[in-house]
Amino acid sequence: MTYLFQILNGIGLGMLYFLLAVGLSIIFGLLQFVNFAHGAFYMLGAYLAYTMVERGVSFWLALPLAFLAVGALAALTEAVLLRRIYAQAHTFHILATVGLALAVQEIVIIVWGPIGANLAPPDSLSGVVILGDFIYPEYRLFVIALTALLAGGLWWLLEGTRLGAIVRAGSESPETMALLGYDTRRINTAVFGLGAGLAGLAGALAAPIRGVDPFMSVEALSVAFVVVVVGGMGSYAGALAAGLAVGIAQSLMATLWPEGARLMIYLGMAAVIVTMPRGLFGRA
Amino acid sequence: MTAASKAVASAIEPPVEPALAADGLGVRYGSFVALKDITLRVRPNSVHAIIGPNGAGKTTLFHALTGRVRAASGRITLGGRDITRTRDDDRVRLGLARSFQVTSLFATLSVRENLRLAAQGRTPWAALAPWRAVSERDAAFAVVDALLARLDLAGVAGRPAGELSHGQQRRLEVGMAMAARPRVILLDEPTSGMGTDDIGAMTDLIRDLGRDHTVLFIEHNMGIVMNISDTVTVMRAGQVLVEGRPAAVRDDPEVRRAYLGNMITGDLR
Amino acid sequence: MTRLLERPIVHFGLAAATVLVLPLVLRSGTLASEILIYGLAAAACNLLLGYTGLLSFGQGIFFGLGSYAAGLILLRAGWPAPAMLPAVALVGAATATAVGWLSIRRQGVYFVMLTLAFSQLFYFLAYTLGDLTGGDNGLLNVPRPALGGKPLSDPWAYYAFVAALFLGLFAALQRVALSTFGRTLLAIRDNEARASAIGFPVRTFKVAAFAISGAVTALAGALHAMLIGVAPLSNIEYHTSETLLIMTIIGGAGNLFASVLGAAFYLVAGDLLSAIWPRWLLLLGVLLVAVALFMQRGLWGLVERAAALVAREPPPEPASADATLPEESRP
Repeated sequence: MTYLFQILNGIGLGMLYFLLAVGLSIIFGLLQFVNFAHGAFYMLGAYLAYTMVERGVSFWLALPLAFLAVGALAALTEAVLLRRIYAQAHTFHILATVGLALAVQEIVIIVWGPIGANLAPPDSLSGVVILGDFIYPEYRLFVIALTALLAGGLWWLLEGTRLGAIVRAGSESPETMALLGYDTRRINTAVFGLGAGLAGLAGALAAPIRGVDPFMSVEALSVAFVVVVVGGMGSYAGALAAGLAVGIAQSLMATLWPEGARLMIYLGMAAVIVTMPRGLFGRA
Repeated sequence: MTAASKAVASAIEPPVEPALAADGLGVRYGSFVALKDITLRVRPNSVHAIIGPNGAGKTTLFHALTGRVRAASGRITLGGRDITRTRDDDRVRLGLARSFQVTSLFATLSVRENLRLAAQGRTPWAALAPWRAVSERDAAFAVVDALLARLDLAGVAGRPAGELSHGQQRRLEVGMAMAARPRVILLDEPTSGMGTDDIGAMTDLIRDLGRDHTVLFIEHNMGIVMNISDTVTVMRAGQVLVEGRPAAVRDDPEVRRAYLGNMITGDLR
Repeated sequence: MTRLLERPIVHFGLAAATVLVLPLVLRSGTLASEILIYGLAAAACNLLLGYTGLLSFGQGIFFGLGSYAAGLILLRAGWPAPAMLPAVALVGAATATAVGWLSIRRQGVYFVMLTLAFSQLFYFLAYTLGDLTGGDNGLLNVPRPALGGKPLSDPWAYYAFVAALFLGLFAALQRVALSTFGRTLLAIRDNEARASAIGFPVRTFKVAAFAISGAVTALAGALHAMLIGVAPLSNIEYHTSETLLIMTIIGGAGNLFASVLGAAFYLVAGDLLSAIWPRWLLLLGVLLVAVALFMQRGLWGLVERAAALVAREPPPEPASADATLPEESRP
């Protein structure tokens, strides 16, 4: 029973990791841009949800608002700042977004203080589900259900819509997209906003589980990197499989060897890199 | 020796061990078959041209011969030695060097340093010494200076390779392959993008190389191919269509029908 | 004037001048020592970034490991500092060989992500092995080296010890950069595919560059642990990797002294600003964005421009301003 409990926990955690990583992945796929501020957008989503709920806004409203606010902020950053450095070497993409993440972290400390806080799940989900002798928190079940819906919606968005086709065509060849008459700049901004918004939403959903603190961004960024390295960048299925694998592994380890749970994620990643350098679903 | 008289000579002599050979060579990119069952014999000290329409797999063949892409099937031998599984950098040590269709130099390094590195590539492990400075008396520099003169690059020896004119970069590109003192040298469209004057010099250089090296080159300019090649291989859709002496290839009805049409205009000297 | 700024001997002269000037302008011997220590680690980072084209987000691994190894060897094994230092260098080189070998299995941004993930791996490893590392508290009471039986407890006495090692290792790194090995690294940085096509086993060279960088970074970490008397968990954290990388890029990736300049700027600015405003990292974040937009050649690029102004020459083109080319291969 403990294992079932931990596996469910792991699925919830893994789906959050998936949301985080898929955002990073589509931004990179379209823009060839590594966003080291991705963890900062995750943190902002968590803090925004926290503040809204503290101020009496319903959690149900706070979730979409966190997604929209972070997405809009990211889109603005892209339009004003980041698009100016696409042409440069990766080093400067990384430097600029590392700087951005640093600035966001300090702003969070200025606004909310250096100490973290906890956020209670909404009242309607604060209970537990009891099935025989199995007890499980409702909120975590909700996270699994919602993220599953979102994953389905995202899959449809990327595989079944015109936007998705444009994004995929753009990852293959930006020139073609420009030739076909698409406004690449607006699509870039929209996709950047969408990717960052997903990170913000993941942060908002994670807040009632793990709380908020000014250093959650680094952890989120490196977990997203692990998921992307293991799953293969640009692969939706890879992000899903690797996200779930990392989440479940971390949850199971939390009962077997609590101090080493995080360590095991990274050791697991190293093992994948040794055996499958391109990742589980990696393309060349 | 003209191409024709050489071909006659080789018909009389017993068959020689090819300098480079491929047997049943196949290459795949995922499910796409890029090369299928290629058999190729490159005779020592000959100039051997590969022609064919775009997408015929000519550059892929070079990638496979030099070890940049892995052969899915078949066998590659260099001077009789099986190199099918040998890594690309190890093949250089065995005497196989190449130039690229798209100029590929060390753009911020000087022309002289580009050639020195290429010469050093023959003994790369000696370069793994983090304490050893590069000596002006290094044997590599003798090769480098001779090449600079031969390629007419002595005047720009100190300039970064990225700042050279197109023609100069193309010559350096070929020089990089020569610097390793290979027995077999593979040139991928050495004249691409060149003006008429530069093309003449490059043609002379390739013909000249054929005297002391074995040259395999990809070329679209039929004049050059017909003038300086001993053997021509025509490729199409990842396979060898025809192979033979330039005159024979030029007159081959299948080649004419399938690909060349009336394109062959080079004069046979 | 600008030509002069490309000569390695001038860079070494600048490093030596830094060693002499710091005691004159700084009141804190600890800060002065820190500048040299981080300058050394940033220069080692630059061997990968500027010379090999590898942006390593894992330099904190070797720095932190160097701190721990120094503490453990001094405290548990009881070795004296002169025996400890080579052992630490060896630990750094060995770890960097492993991390480098694994990370270069992927290229480009994947490589960067892998180095960052490995830095997290080693952080959690240090955290998990609390018996060895002291966990959150760090490894306490790391002693300073002794000279004639007396430990170098005076900050400026220890500074002299750091300075001697700094100059020696800086010269060694310069030697590496100018060697046939270093010149091959530049070729790999410029065009990896061609370097491989002309016969160089590129991966071996990259791993070797990692090993050298790791050894020097670990030595810097050891010096740092002896400076502050602790091998703290923070030395192996993400932030140490980030800081070393920022110092390197702010300084400029073109030559090794630029990294010392970057470290000095970072630490002095941090020292001044953090006294006024604890959230000074916000300004740093903004500065990094500005560097990415307007100042890609870093502080060293500014030095070159200033020198060109003084000499009334046009500033050097990025492609030709490679400070590591020896004289004979320049126009």
